[in-house]
Amino acid sequence: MGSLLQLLRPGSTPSASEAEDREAELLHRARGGDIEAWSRLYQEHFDRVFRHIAYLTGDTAAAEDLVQETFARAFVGLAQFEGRGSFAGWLRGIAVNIVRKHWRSRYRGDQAMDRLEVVSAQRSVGTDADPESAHLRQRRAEVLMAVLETLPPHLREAFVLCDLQDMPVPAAAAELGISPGNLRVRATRARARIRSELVRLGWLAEDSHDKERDHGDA
Amino acid sequence: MATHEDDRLPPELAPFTRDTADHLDRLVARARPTPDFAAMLARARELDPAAVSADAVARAEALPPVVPLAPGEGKGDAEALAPFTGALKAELDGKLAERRLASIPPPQVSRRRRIGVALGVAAALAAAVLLAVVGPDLVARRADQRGTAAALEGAGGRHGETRVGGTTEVHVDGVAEPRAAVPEDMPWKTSSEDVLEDMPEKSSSPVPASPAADDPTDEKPRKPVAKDGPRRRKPVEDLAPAPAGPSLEDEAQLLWQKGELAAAERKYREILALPGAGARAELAYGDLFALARQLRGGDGQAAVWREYLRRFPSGRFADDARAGLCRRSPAVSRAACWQDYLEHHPAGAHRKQAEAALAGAAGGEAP
Repeated sequence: MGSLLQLLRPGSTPSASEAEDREAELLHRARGGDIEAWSRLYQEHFDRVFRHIAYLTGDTAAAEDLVQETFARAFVGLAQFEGRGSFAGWLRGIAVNIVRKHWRSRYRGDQAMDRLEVVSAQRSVGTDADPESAHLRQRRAEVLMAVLETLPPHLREAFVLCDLQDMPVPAAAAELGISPGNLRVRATRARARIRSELVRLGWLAEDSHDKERDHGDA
Repeated sequence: MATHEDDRLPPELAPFTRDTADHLDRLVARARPTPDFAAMLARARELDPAAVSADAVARAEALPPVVPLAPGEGKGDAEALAPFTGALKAELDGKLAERRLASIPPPQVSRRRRIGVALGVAAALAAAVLLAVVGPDLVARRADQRGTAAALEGAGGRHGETRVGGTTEVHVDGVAEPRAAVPEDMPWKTSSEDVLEDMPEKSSSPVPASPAADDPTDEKPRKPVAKDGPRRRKPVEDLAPAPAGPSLEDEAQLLWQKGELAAAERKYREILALPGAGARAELAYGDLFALARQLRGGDGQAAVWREYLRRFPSGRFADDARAGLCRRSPAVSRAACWQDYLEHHPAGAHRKQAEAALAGAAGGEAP
């Protein structure tokens, strides 16, 4: 009876170690060619990988294609996953590589700059309005995404992971395959470039940084 | 070299990053693409035919549609089943004492084993009769030895008679213990293999609570138990999940979990035949697809897809059903099938596969 009650009294959510064990089991079976195990892994990780790629690309239509490519490459390369890190992290690392290829295939620096100018030129509506208006928030998002498109991929991905996704530096660095120190340098450079662009386009005042600092010190 | 201060996002950029993250979250939530495992696997085969066999792709196409898990983050099975397990836990906590008396439904057993259970119950009955006849003598003898109160307690069996009846105890032991010893019949098995089978989701009704109504074939062995006395019935009545009893869906799912696929299919077909069962019927089809595949293979599943599309040409499964039929259609008619798919579902989850198939067909290659 005791064992029965133990089975009847489940926790509503599995513990972290239970989830890991379960995933390890699925991975083991997937390595053995179990399609259903793969289907389960695919289903469980799809949303997160999709979101990750959408953040990197800013384009959900592209992300829809790239997420499939990510899983397809993960499928054929599963033997390379040694289990030292998490499976989710490994998938995200593959996604980053695929996004880089995507950027290389479509990046045209002049077009990105043109787009940035167009997006930014529409800003006049917002700056004098309620600073928290939905319109202004939407405009800020569009401008920042347009600025991101003009950045070199290595700066862009550093900024997205550190500042948009708020990932811890060590995890983000591992995902990008660089050292934490290197990531910090890239993120800092990305911020400087973004700030510089926003100042040039009139979205930030030249001395905004100093003002913020003065504010913070006061 | 970056300083520690450089690690932080400059405050003047914070509104931009916040708004961009919000914007991207909205885009992601709006997009919510439907995962297409079969298409992904076909792509993997393109990348490395040695790593993915054609058979694997075919099997993936036969899998039930892969739908997103809960919105937002992916969620595990246990979380998805939380309402069920939570309800069950609450019931267990509240009625634990009564449950100890209740007959727990026998697991899925072979006919031979059912006969064995019936014989066991019959033997228990015989023992009860014997006890009724010989019991007073025994009690008297034990009373002589240990005193009346102690003797009455002993005649009640292994459990306290003050709370339960003696004969009831006999049957609780006779039924419950084998159940506990057969964990494979637990309705919430969590082995990954079971999770991956096309088994239905667990019913929201606590399965063990109303076993008699769930499986008429199990009634015979239990009837003698129910005749043991009023105490025997009361807990069962208390534990009934709802006055109306289990739904057809619950019954079908239970049958499916027991491996009685044909019976489960008949239950789902009963739902289809209900007057005005629009949404219920449609959901029943969702289970019938997988059941038909288990019973009759890919052709059987395709037949149910066609039946479904006749009844629900724009239903929630129409996208997957049409795509599944196209994948199974003969090469000569496949392009036309995908064309038809695109006309019905221009933004469908399988449109890329459809477009690729049509492009292949246009290039003289059968998709």
